[in-house]
Formats: sequence, C-alpha cells, structure tokens
Amino acid sequence: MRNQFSGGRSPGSRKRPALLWLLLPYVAFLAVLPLVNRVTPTVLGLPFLFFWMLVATLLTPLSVGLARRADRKRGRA
Amino acid sequence: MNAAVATSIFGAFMVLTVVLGLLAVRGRGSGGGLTEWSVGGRSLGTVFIWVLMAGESYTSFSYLGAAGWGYNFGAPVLYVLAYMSCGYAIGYVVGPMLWAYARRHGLVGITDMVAHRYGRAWPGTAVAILATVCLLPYIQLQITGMGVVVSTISYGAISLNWAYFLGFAVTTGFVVVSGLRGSAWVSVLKDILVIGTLGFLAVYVPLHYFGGYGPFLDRIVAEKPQWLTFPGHASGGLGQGWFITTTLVNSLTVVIFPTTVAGYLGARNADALRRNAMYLPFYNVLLFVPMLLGLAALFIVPGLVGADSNLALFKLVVDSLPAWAVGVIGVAAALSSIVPMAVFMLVIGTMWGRSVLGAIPRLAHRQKLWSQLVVVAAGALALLLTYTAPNTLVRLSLISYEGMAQLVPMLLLGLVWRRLTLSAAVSGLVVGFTLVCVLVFTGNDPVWGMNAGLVALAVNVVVALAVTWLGPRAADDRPDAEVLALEDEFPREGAPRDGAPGEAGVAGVARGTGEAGASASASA
Repeated sequence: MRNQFSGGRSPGSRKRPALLWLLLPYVAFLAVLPLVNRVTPTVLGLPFLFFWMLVATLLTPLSVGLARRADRKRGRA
Repeated sequence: MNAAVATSIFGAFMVLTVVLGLLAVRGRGSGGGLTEWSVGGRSLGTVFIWVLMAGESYTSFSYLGAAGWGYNFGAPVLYVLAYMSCGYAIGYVVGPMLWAYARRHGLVGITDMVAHRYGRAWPGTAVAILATVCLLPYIQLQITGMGVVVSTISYGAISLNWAYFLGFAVTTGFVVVSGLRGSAWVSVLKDILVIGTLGFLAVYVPLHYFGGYGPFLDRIVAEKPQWLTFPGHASGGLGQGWFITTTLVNSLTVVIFPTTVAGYLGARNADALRRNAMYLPFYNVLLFVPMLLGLAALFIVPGLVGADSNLALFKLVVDSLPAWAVGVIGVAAALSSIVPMAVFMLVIGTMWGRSVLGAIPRLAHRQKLWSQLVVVAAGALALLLTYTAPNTLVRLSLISYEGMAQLVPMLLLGLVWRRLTLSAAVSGLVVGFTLVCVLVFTGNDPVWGMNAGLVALAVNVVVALAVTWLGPRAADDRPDAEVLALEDEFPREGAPRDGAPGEAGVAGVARGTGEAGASASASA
C-alpha cells in the first residue's frame, strides 16, 4: 500500500518526476518575463504582455493536467 | 426611483444569501462538532470545492482593487493572476498533502497542524494569534469594499456606515450557524452572478463606449502604452523584479493561507483537490475583465485619485446601465466580499476555538461554541476598526500576506523535513516576521526592487536551517509517519482511497474531542 520509495526516508526520495510540470507556470509567468514585457506585436488586438499572460493562464491547467496524468498512470502501474 | 430599484434587488439577494447559507445545514441538526462546522465534515466533492475555493479567492479586491490597480498602474496588477495561477499549480501537491495529514490526525486548520507536528500546544496558539493579526485587516477590507459598492450601487440611498454594518450582519448571520458548508452554498450563488456579470461587462463596456473590442484595444495601445508593460504607470518601483518576487512568495503563501487550507480540508478526498488544481486556474481568466475595464475607465472617467480609483469599474457600471442591472452587478460584488469574509471569520473562529481557547483544558470540551463566539467577536472588532480607523487597505493586505508568508517554513518545510526543530522554526518565524514589519513600516517595500516578504522569507529559512544545525536536537520519539506528511494517498485505479486511512496517529497530541473518529464515520 505504501509507496516503496517512501520507506521512512525523506519524502524527496519519492519518484514523481512528472511533478516538474508544475514548474511550467513559473516559467511562463516569471522566467520569460523580460522577453514578453512589450506592447507590440499585438495579438488579437491585445498588447503582447497581456496576450502572453492570457497564454500563461491557460497553460497552468494544462501543466497540472500533465502532472496528474502521469500520477494516474503511476497509480495503475 | 433608480435607488429604489437597485436597493430592492440588493436587499432581496441579501435575504436570499442568508437563507441559502442557513439551508446548507438543514437536517444536520447541531451535531457534528467542530469538524462539521469548520471543514464541512470533510465531505465536499469536486464541484463544491471548486465553487468554494474560487468563491473565496475572488474577493472584493477583484472588483475594486484590480480595476483600481489597472487604472492607476496598469501591468503590475497582473501579479494577482500570476500568483493565483502558480499557487493553484503547487496546490496540486500541497493540497492533498495537507488534506491527508489533517484527516489522518483529525486536524481542522494550520494551527492544529503546527501543534501536532511539533508535539506541543503552544506553537499552535502562537500561530493562531499571529494569523489573526494578519487576517483581521482582510475582514476589514471586505467590509469597506462591500460598503463602497453598496453605497455606490444604491445611488447613495444606503450610507457607507449602514452598508458596513449590513456586510457584517449578513455574513455573521449564516456563517455562525452553518460554517464552511454554508459558505460553499453561498459561493454557488456568488460564482453564478460573478461569472454572469463579468462576462456581460466584458462584452458590453467596450461595445457601449468604444464600439467594440478592436477600437478599445487600439486606443489603449496608441494612447496609454505606459500602462501596458512593467513597471507600469507611476507605480513607484513595481517593476519586473517586484512582479517576479511577489508572484514567488505569494504563490507559496496562498497554499498555506488559512482560508485556502479550510477549502483543502473540506474536500471529500484528495482527488477532488487534484482535479481542482486543474480546473481552478480557468477562473483566473475572469480576472482580466476588471483589469481591462480599469484601463477602459481611464478614457471614460479620467482623473480618479486615491481610494476613488477603486471605483473605476463601478463608475462605468452606474454610468452606462439601468438600475436593475446596477443592482445585480452590485450583488455580485457584495457577495465577493461576503463569501471571503465568511471564510476569514470562520478560520479565525476555528483557530481560536481549537488552538487558543481549546488549548485551555477547562474550556476544551466546547471548542465549537468558542469558535462560533470568536467569529462574532472577530467580525465585530473588524467592523469597529472600520468605523474608527478607515483607510486605503490594499497596502495593509500586502503586509498581511508578507507576514503570513513567514509561516511557510514552519508548516511546509516542517511537514516534510523531520530535523527541523521547534526552536528553529520559531526563530525563523520571529526573525522573518519582524523583518517584514520593519521593512514595510519604514517604507522599504519593495526593497532593492524585490518583495519584502520574499527577502524576509529567505532570511527566515536561513535562520531556521542554522538553528536546526547548530541548536539543540529535538527530543521527540514519535515515528516519522506520525509527525510528517509523507504520504498523500494517491488513489489507485479501481480502489479509491476515500475512506479512513489508518487512524494510528491520534495518540500524538492529546485531543479533547475524539473528532477524528467522528469525521471518519461521517464520510463513510
């Protein structure tokens, strides 16, 4: 029942590499900010920064979904 | 005439709110104890958790502050969007972890978790008092937010002071009786109205004033480019560095924020939280509406300064719509104060009922009653402060957030790292919190272009690590599985782990109520 990797050691030893997907929002909102902090080009009329923030907002559920899919696969295995 | 129509609609909805909140616990009697009241008996499914957590995070700030920041500064307002999205993402891990820990040990909030983790009652008491200091400004913020909205949409018929009182009365009216479950039910009404009205405004305002989205956006880009990138317009240092550091620290803080944790603990199972980490970010798209309408207001009602800029959105609404529509939009905004206020009061009550008053042996058997009394007291205190010390509160709420951030090492690091000692966690917290106060109150936030809360959090962690390595070792012989949140119970296909995991751990900190058993049987 208990995950074999969690045997009393630090929880960091549990192997869930798919959780790295959860860093994607941080990349989209923060890491690339210097590149997207601009008004032009406008996309669908939106200034570029605001367009990018919309993209990042929609990327967030996607990245969580990818992490969850991997977790569910692991659960079946 | 206008005032009568808008006020009647508003009044009818306020009555409906209280009724709905009370109906939530119909047929449940007064049983169930603190777990039933504080975390809805850990029985809420995916949909209710979504509605509740969206409801409590989308506060009056979203209508007032977001539009006001958009109007005054422009781009810096995007931090709200960024930290809430990132917070939902890491909530995918933290939510189930806290949920499982609380469930296994029969805990109802963060103060409880701290007391259990460190094996003493007093750290929980201390955290409860600290968190109350940080949360009270939020209640006041909701009260004042509701006040200005109600007085604006009633065309002045309801005075500010009466509107403040109404906010307090309506909220207290249901939350004292029905707790988290009542808040979830009211959130249903709130979310429907918020999604409906913001969706409508998003289409209507550009069409009405600019002849469509194209012309509206073209005009912003052509005339107000300063608002459209960091550091925004005259924002006083809210540049890219500030945005990045604020998003980082707030996204860590939001997952341990007592109101968020109340939502986590209300879940029926961990998977409801994992699903919601995926579905909740969609709600954030709605935040673009007040932000963009704040920008639109620059052209329509120029020259708003100070607290008036918070009304940027409502000036447009009152100016362009018939009274009944003004009333409905006002109800949506008022509920955006009421739902978060209810949950804020609820968690303050829970913290005191459990970890402050409940920690006194003579009082420990009436934890729910104390919690309910503290709800009324906390709300009344916030109301009193609103009458006697009104002010622009967005800054104050930022202080609260940066202060709450200092609990992250004690709680999150503590739950995964056994070596962190109580003295280390407390040292870090004290140093971090003091540093936040010093930086903020001396006007040094942002400091070196960074969020003061993140700077203080870094110092906090360094102190905690140093004291752990150099200070006394903890004398706690409970096993790791009892103390840490190691297993977040990912359900296996075909064998959902909804039911009670081993109740092995109740022995740790003595509890007066035996609720762990009660809640386990309630959800079976």
